Parts: sequence; C-alpha cells; structure tokens
Amino acid sequence: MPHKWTIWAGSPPAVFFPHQRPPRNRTRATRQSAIHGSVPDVLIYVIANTCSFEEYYPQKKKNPGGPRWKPRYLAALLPATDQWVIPVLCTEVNAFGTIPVLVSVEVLQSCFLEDWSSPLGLSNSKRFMAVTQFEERHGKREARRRAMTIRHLLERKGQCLWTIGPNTTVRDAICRNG
Amino acid sequence: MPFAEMADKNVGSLLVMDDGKLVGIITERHYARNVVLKGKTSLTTPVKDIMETNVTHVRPEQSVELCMALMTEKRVRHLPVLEGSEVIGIVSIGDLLKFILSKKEADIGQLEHYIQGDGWQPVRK
Repeated sequence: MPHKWTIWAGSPPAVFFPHQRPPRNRTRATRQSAIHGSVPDVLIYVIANTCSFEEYYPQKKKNPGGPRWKPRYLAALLPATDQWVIPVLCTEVNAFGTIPVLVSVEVLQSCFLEDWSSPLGLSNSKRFMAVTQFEERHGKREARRRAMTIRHLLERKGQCLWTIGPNTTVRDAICRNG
Repeated sequence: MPFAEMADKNVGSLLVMDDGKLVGIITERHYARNVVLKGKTSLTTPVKDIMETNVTHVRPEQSVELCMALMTEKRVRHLPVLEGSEVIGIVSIGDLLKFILSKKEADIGQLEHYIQGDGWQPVRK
C-alpha cells in the first residue's frame, strides 16, 4: 500500500525519514540492503509554501544541533494549482514495492503547473517518481500531458515579440523589425 | 528582398498590434500569397491589406499537445499567446517540436538511468 501525506499550509514543515545521510553513490551493497528491506537511504523533506527554503535555511544555520541533513537532500513543494494543500504521494518502485523517496525538481515541475525554481539544483533522484492526486484521479498520462503547458514553453524560449502597426507598409514594417 | 531579413533573424511572423490590441498576424505565407503572387509591391501595400485578421490564439495554461492539434487543424505555424487580452508571446511549430523533443529526450534519459540502475547521483554544489 503506498504511503500518502497531506501537508497543510500554516503547519510547520513536516519531516519524513530524518534518519541518515544518503550515500554519495548508491552502490551495489546499498541496493542489496534496500532490497532486503533495510531503512531506505533517502529522505523526504516537504516545506509548505508558508516556509520557503530561503526562510528555512538561515534558521537551520543558527541551529547547528538541528537536523543533520544537507540542503541538497531537501525537496520543496509549492501548492498545486487551486489549493493550499499539497497532496503528494512519493514512491520509488523497487523490488519490494513502493517506498517514500526524495522527489526531484524535474518531477515536481512535471507534476505541478505552478512555476517552481530550485534553490538547490536538485536534479538527482532520476529513478524516482511522484504521483499527485491529479495523477491518481486522471492517470499519469493525462497529468504529464497537462504539465507541458505553453507557459513552460514560453519561459524556456524567452520573450521576443515582433509587432507592427496595421497601417505600416509591408516593407517598412519588415525592415524595421528585421 | 525584405523577407530575407526576416529569415536571417529566424522571424517567421509578425503580430499586428493596434493600440496594444492584437488585430492580426502577418507571416511569410501571407507575404508570398498576398503580395508576391498578386503582383503587389511591399513599398505601398499596408500591412492591414494582407494580414490575417481571424487570429487563432492560445492561452498560457493550455497544453503543448493541444497547441499542436490546433496548428494542425487550422493549418497555421504561429500562434499568439494571450493572457486575457494581453499578448505575452508567440509560439511557432518549431518551438513546439523542440520543446516536445527535449521532454522526450529527458524521459528517455530517465528510463535509461532506471534500466541501467546507475543509482542516485547527488548534485554537488
């Protein structure tokens, strides 16, 4: 049975699996241990939109005795399109079913229509996937299809608008814009 | 040849704006069909005579696939993007293809990593 969490805005950041620092590389041994059911070597940190990473990190620096994990292992989620609640189901499919995992920025970007930029450059965890409530309801294909919007395309492409007035002659317009 | 300049800049279309409102669009196709083929001269022909006034547009929250379908159905290669009544951009069929291809490549890369079991590669800042 997959795990499911709901993070309410306004509540303090919820921490899941704050146990150990993940290894730099997942070796064969760690994969084996995962298969045999030891504690997964990943963790999830979900920050509600009321507490951004920038707000959180200075507090963390002032509190060295606090959580041991490094910022690069954190994942921050912004709210879904029309609600302040962030329903996210994060799972890794492996030999013994599904386990909670760190969600990559790319996955988040593909799951949520909201703009999201990473303060951390979390582009790891390529093996993992996140399943939103939308995906559960409408299927992964539909969710992925919806995620690729024109807004994303424009952001990547950058803005460059070539305009003219209706009374300009064709030649003038083209020469001016060219 | 003025349109050579557009080709140099990789600009295939121009939005015709009047008082900040989108009133039409002119593309290389309009130029070829309405100026060159009709024997008009670009020195005297105003843009409003050759522009397409029935402009098909999209909204930013619409999907890339829908945009592609719209282009295929309407047989257009450029779609202005409107947020409310404000023009915020324009997408071409080339932009869409590039975007879709890059997404597919990323998906394939992720699948390859998954199949090969390359493991977790933390990003080093």
